[in-house]
Amino acid sequence: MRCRSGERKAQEMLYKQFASKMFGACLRYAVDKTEAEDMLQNGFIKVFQKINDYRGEGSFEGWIRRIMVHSSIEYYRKHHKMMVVELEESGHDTPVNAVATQNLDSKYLLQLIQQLSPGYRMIFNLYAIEGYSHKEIAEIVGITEGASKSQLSRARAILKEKIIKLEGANYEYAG
Amino acid sequence: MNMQDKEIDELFSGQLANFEMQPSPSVWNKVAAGLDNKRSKKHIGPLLAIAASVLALLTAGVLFLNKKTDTGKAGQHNNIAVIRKGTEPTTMAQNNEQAVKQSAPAIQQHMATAVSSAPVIAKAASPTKSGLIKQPKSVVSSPSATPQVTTQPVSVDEQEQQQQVLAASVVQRKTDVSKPVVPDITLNTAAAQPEQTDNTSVVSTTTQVSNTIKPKKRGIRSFGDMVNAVVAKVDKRTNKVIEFSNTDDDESTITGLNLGIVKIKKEK
Repeated sequence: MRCRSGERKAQEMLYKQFASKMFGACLRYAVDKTEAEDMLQNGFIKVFQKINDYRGEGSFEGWIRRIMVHSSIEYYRKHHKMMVVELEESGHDTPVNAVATQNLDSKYLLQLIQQLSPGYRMIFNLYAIEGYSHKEIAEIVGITEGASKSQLSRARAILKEKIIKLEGANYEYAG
Repeated sequence: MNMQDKEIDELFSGQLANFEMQPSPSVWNKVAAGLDNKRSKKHIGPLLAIAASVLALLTAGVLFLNKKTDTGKAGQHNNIAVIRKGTEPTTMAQNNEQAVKQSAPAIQQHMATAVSSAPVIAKAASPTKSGLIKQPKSVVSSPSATPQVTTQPVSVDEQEQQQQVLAASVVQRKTDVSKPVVPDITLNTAAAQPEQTDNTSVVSTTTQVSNTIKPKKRGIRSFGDMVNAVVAKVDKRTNKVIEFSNTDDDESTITGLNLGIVKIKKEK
């Protein structure tokens, strides 16, 4: 692979190939685009530094994505304290119109995630979207499995509440 | 319809798992700049490591050499101290010798005076004797030839006796003067021997001298630590010279009197 020789042109090509996908992933871990771009920058620097470690096992995109996720977590650790923000308990089983959720576009859902506190956002991303288990999250983030589970449930509750509010707004708009 | 946890997860994952957005073009420039920095750092890294290792070796070597020189200096100081101790007694001895010499001429002068006085006494005695003898002369009024002859030996005997007495007193003076000189001379010889002999003997003699001299100083400050330090010192010194420097360190810390101590303080 030409990238392994460290050629800048090859690196740029690889960057352009994966930048938008990885930026989409970083956005889920960040508050805004600026933070996500910092995560993306650090992640790609790591990708090019560690590119000789890639043994061809699994997809290259998955390898890069894992580096991006870890870069985002590292960024989170550097810039946000590992505080568990205690938010008000919201109703867990509030009914939500399933049809209305189909109108929720990805950008709005991304905004909902970005509005979460950093800890909730990270754990919800890792579990619900990246597909890590609580045990893996506990190892990656450095918390207990129980903390991972409780934060995930609270993140879900917050997201659900916001979706319900949106549902009400949609109903009012429809009515 | 209740929205279960799994539904929420699927909603977000389905919408966002493959979510893409084009980052600003400046990100690549930052990535390239970061790679350049990391590369330069990587290139500098080994050089820094080499420089750091060289510095570490140099510092270690300098410290080691300083320690060696310190020990050497300490030994030199000890030797100097010994020499001083030796020189002091030698000077003392010289002074004593000079004193002895000075006293010797004085004694000689005394002798001379004594000798001179002896005849004076003899002269003084002779007239008395002569007077005494004369008295018998006058008393006896015998022929003066024989009593004069007899008086002369008597006066000679008296002179000899007086001279012997003076000589005895002089000898006593000499012995009195020479007795205090004797130990100094022995010290001089004892101090002069280590200089001529090996370093080990010097060390041993220095230790002996220091041990003989220092206990008072150590005893003044603290007893237990002092005794332990002394024991450790003695053992180490008898074993090796380098350990001797270590003991010097201990001593220096404890006593603070020796020149080696100052170095030790500096190190600590």
